[in-house]
Amino acid sequence: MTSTTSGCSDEAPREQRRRGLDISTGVRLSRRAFLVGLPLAAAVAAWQRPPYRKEDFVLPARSPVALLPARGYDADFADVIGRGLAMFDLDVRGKRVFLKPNLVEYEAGTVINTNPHVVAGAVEAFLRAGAREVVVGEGPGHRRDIEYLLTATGLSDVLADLRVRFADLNHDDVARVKLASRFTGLTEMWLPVELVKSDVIVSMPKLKTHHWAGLTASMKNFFGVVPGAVYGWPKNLLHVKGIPNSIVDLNATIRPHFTIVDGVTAMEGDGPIMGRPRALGMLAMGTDLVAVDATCARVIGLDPSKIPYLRTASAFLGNIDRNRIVPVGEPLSRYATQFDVVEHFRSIRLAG
Amino acid sequence: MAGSTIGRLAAVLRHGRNADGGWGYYPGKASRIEPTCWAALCLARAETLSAGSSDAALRWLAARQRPVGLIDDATGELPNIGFNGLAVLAVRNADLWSSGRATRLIDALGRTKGAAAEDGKASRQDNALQGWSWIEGTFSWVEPTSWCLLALKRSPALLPARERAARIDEAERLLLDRVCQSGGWNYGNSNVLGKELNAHVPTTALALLALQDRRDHPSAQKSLDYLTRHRLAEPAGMALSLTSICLRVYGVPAADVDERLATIAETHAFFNNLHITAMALYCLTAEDHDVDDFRL
Repeated sequence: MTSTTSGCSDEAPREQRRRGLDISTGVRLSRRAFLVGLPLAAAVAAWQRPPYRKEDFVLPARSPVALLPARGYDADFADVIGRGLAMFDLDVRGKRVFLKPNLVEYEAGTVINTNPHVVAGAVEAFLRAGAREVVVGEGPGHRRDIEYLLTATGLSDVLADLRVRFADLNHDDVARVKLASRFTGLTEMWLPVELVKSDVIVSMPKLKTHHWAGLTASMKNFFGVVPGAVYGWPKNLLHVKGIPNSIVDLNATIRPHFTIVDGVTAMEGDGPIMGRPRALGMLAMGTDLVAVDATCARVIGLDPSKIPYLRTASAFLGNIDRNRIVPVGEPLSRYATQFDVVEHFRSIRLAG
Repeated sequence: MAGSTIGRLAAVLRHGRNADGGWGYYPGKASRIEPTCWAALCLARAETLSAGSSDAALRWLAARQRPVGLIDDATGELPNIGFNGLAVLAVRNADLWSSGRATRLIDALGRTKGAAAEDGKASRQDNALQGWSWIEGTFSWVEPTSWCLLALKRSPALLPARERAARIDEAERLLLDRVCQSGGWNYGNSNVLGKELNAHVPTTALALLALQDRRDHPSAQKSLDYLTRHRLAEPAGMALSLTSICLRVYGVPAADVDERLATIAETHAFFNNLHITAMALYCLTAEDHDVDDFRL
């Protein structure tokens, strides 16, 4: 991933290389541009090639996914998340950890956003695990007024108590990053420097059904890193280029290291904003975000193979096959239920 | 308004200026269009602030203007069209921009249009209407449409009359088509998948500013009523600042909005956001300028 920075240090390319975020790949033509001028047969052959370099990605043979109980938001999340971290081979000692919660919109009495107490628990757990620094950051796709969201949700108070810095990703300095997959047809995007320069990137979504994507959890959460000051709100370019395509390209490029899904109280129905709260009483964690999201889909009664971005990602980013996902912690059956979904997503339910 | 609050905000703005003359969203960050525009508006109008003059900000904006007319951030990305609408307001009275620069900027905005959305069943709205998008190739949204509409209305001599009238008419119809059932505006749609969406304060204040010369329209009146009732409902710098400007333009007393703004400035200083600091400072010094930059 090539990084051209704007008003920032040059730490980004080094870190991207370390994470396998290809900074050395030359600029390639977009699929559309490439196809123009090709004979039909060659165009068909080119179309069939996946829009990523296979050698850049290795599917895990097995993907552990932890489901851990947390009955309410008064749980000791530092303890729960600490126990979860211990189940995975994730060394954060001396590293800068970036936590990306899901802040979208605030409506009193709803469960749109990752609960601040879960974020606080993660901060404490990563610091106890030896992280040099923990930064929390988000660039809401709807409401650009981050000051309002931080104060209304209570996250600003929580972070102030912990003396943890918040990074406003909509308005941060940006780095030009080459995309590691090109499902959108884009070759590069601008991403926030605060994200790009981090050693360990952790998705911290709220588990919700989504009226355009079917499911929003670990992977869809990365829409929030796309800087609004560059792309506008609600990151409309990602919609124009296709939501599943954008989810896959962002995850293939960012290559997040871990996820902690807030499924204590999830959202069903017309998510991600207007759905209803639904208690699940769990956190889901893992290093393979595709596998964690596939597991979350199964928990709420959705078939991951019918969710386009999970199906696409399963070819090269992570596992959705039950046989390659290893449950650790509680069994899926403990939480399995059926969430309501909007009518046009009825067909992705496991029940059919 | 407490002079000490104004003085502190002015000091934050003064210290936050970058060596290149612009402002970033936060201290130490690269200069960007939006905070630089607000700083320019602020400094041009309230010279008693001791926060420096607006000349450097205006020069930074001029340096970032492309030959086609639009201003871009230092990112080399597609220009943010909404913030270019704001820039028109910021540079309008500046000598540096009195030549062809302002004409090229307005002309470029006049030629920019949101992408046509497909007619679908997702939303009950007229997708044939196009205003302005945040970036080229995407759909029209309330905020960029409002900024650009206000910019066009504030610059009557800079576009051919027929072209200007057509863009203004279509943008007005788009905004009026997207009014929420409660009055006020969400970000784009007023409904989706059969559900009515909630209005928000910043979008409502901004759209009302763009429609101030249509204030007799029932949707504008309903939205003004919404904003008046919800003026303190989103107690943060951006919402309160836009509300303060909007209600002042509409002649609605709103001293409580400025008081809340000053209180927040003292409690958490807008989390050091220079863009919001400049917005708040502009509002808290409104006795000097009566928000003339936003009036038609």
